[in-house]
Amino acid sequence: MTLRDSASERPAAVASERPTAVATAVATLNLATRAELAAAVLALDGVALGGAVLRAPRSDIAETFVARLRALMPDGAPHRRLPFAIPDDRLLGGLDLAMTLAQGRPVADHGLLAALDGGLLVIPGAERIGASLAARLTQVLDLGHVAQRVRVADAPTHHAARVTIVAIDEAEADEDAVHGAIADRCAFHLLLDVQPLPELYSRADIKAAAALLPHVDADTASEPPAHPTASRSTDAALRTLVHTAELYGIDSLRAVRAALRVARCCAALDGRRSTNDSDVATAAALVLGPRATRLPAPPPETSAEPEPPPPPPDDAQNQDDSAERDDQDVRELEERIIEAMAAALPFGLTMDAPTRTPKARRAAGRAGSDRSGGTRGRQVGTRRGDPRGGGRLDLVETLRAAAPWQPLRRRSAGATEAGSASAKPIPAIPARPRVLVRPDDFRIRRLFEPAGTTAIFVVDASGSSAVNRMAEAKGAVELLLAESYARRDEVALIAFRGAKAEILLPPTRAIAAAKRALAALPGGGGTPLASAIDRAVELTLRARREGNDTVVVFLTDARANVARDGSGGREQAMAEALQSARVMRGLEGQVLLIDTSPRPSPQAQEVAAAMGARYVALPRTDARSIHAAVTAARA
Amino acid sequence: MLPLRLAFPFSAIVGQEEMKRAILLTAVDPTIGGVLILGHRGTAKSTAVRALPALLPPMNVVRGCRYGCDPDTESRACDDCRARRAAGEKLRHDKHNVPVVDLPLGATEDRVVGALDLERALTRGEKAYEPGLLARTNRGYLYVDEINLLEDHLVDLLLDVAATGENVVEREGISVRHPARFVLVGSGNPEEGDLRPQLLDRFGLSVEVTTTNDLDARVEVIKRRDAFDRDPEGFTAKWAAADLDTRKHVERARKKIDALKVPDAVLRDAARLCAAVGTDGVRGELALLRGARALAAYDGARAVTVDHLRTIAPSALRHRLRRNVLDDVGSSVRIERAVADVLGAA
Repeated sequence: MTLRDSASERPAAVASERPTAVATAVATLNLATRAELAAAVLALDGVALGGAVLRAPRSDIAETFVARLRALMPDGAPHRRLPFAIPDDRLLGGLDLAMTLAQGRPVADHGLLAALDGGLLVIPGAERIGASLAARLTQVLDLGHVAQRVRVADAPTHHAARVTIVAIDEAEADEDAVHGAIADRCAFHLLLDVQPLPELYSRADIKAAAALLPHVDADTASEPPAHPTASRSTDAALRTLVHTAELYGIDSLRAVRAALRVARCCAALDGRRSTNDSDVATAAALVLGPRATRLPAPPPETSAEPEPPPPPPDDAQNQDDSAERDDQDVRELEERIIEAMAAALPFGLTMDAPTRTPKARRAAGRAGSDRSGGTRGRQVGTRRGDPRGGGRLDLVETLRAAAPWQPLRRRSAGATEAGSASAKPIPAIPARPRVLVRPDDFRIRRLFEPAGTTAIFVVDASGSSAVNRMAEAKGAVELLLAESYARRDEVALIAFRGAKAEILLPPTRAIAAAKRALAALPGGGGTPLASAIDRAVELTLRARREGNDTVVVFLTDARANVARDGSGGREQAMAEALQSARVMRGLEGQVLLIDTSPRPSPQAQEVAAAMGARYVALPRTDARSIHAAVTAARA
Repeated sequence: MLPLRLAFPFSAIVGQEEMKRAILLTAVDPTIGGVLILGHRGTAKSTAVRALPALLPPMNVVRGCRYGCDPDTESRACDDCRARRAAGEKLRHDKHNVPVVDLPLGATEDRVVGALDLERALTRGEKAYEPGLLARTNRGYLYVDEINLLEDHLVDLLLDVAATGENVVEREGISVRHPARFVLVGSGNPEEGDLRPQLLDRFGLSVEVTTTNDLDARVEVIKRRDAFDRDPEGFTAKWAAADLDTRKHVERARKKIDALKVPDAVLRDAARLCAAVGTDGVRGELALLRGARALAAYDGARAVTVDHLRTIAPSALRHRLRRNVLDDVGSSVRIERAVADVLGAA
């Protein structure tokens, strides 16, 4: 069973057709079959593989995946949905307040993650997870345990928390996706459609595969020197995966590591003890495919391969036989993978010039967006409330509130205790009388956190003066960025020209990302003003959701001549622009329109009025005056 | 009790020499200050830090001390230990691994600095102090992943404590101070937001890590990781000798460092280098000298030389350069130029 050579022939005992069908026809797998395979692999090895990020057209479809995964995971494996605003006490463990008060001694609650050990954590609306929750989750994913957080006699210092995550990404097309730290740790990024998952595997299959999994390629992995031939073949698979990741612009080594594991899972699900090319191709398609950020450079002789591409089979002068065979293996495998990958690439990658990688976009928008209203910041007082709702308990105030009632409560508590004393023993009461606290006494801290500002620049990149205007707009954005460097402000940039407006830079504080976006800013073409305003409305709403104030700055002469559908025609374009402008007005945010035409244009004034924007004519726009105007508007 | 997952051995980390060196030097001389690690995901940042407890020499800790006091340095003892000594108690001690504490983003101030002891407040109505993460961090490492996203008020707090070596708690009617000397290790992805300049300057060393593009190295990274995942005990045992070797180096260097001389010429070179790159204040110069000294000690050199300075300069200075948003030249390049100008070619 340990011989590598037997790998490609499947043992006759495993007669089912599905794994082979799955493995060989991976290029033609539909979304549902891929999802089924991913579910089986996660049920098998989910803890090591992190989990999956799901995108589905409707939330009930995502649920079908969750249901399928549960059906494959061991019977009775715990399963929970992550509440959006979960306090640390509930997530990682803390004091169980109700029990503590009832028993008069600290009672620890180990938290949701410890309770889910060996189970499944479903995160609906995963794109809303901010940096701090993501950090906690990734820590637990990495370590596999949570620390005991409350000092209780004889409590262990850690609790196992080996969880599999299903993060359901409900973001709209242009919004930030699931936090990068989580997405990176989830092996699968799955897209679902309305088709139901084919039920190819059963819980018994998973159980059988689980018994086999530790033995898959075991001889080759642990002690390479002992089995030179075998290890070279595993090497070949690994090298191919690493190379594939590079070809498709995937930086994360975690993804490659996950792909290797997935390949082994495929072999185990197929009843084999060693991986074959199909497993590797399937794993590449499942794990690496959706992460691709670019297409491989076209094959012509500039290939990125380490060796020069020789005429394939009979080139045996300078290498020994096995190495040569290995090379050939690698090449064959690579071709297979590229074929398999083609079917799994992210939508859009194949059509557009891949200048903006999804990863960079995702990362950029995240900074400072973690403002979960009222649970952090400076304390400005207390109010009555339930600490379990996410508020932070103010103990001193709570005890103060409880103090006046103590004699009364003790008397009534004494009465009930005396009445029921014979019924059941009361938990050990400390020597001195404890404080009797009732839920009414709880005082929650009122916290105040100043909101940041998101400055959204909407720059007209159309027509002849575009070049100058763009340069100045870039200058102004850079000035603002330099300023926001020490603050919590963000800057975003929308450019419009030709057929439609485009978000070049989602809200960010990151200078590196901003400068890249600015450098790539093109100019020329028509003026799709309506589309530009629509994008600005979108970004405004998004920034608001994250708790930021907004300042929207338009730099344009407002000579709209492209309608929303991309067609020409001044009248239609202007009518739509005014319509969008009224939507913008409805948001009641700070809006500034800087008129860049040589003479103040009536059109620009009309659009500004419709938006409720402050109108500034700056025929000779320069970075400093724009910057000054924005600063004034923000004040 | 649940056995904790073994940490990936420090010595088995492929490449990332500058990062490994920076971390080891702070183990030799914690007064260098913290280490800032900037780089993308999956570059072994967390792995390197989490490997430290198993790697570094264990330390003596006063038995029963909540702040992990060293039995041999009374000057830095906490109030509890002082009181126990004053009462004539003979303090016993145990060997503990160097603590590495993960500070999660968004941790509450209570968790970090400590808070009112709930148990005693609720059961006896007493005011007592329950130590927080900083107490556990004393004499060890505080690791903040994605430190660039840390909240401002926590950053201020950590800076204060790191600067003074003492955690002063004045809240909820409790008033406590306890030693909290630690090396702050922060990691982050610069693309996700920049660090505030005030925070940057407090780090002794900074390193920029990248994923290697070398196919063989990348394959090796995954191979080792995979071997570790499959058999953590076996893999760790295989690397134990290498780890032990590093540990011995650190121990030797610690013994040696106090006797190491820094020649005047090297002092002058350090000052000229700092002037040439225009770092504000003396922090840069201090980090440069301490770093060079720790490096010399680690290398087993007799004296600190200009070569040590040259090696450590990028780590000690690159994060202290004035940021110019409109200037594209990377900090590392500017340092290298200055080093070549001031110290001459290697």
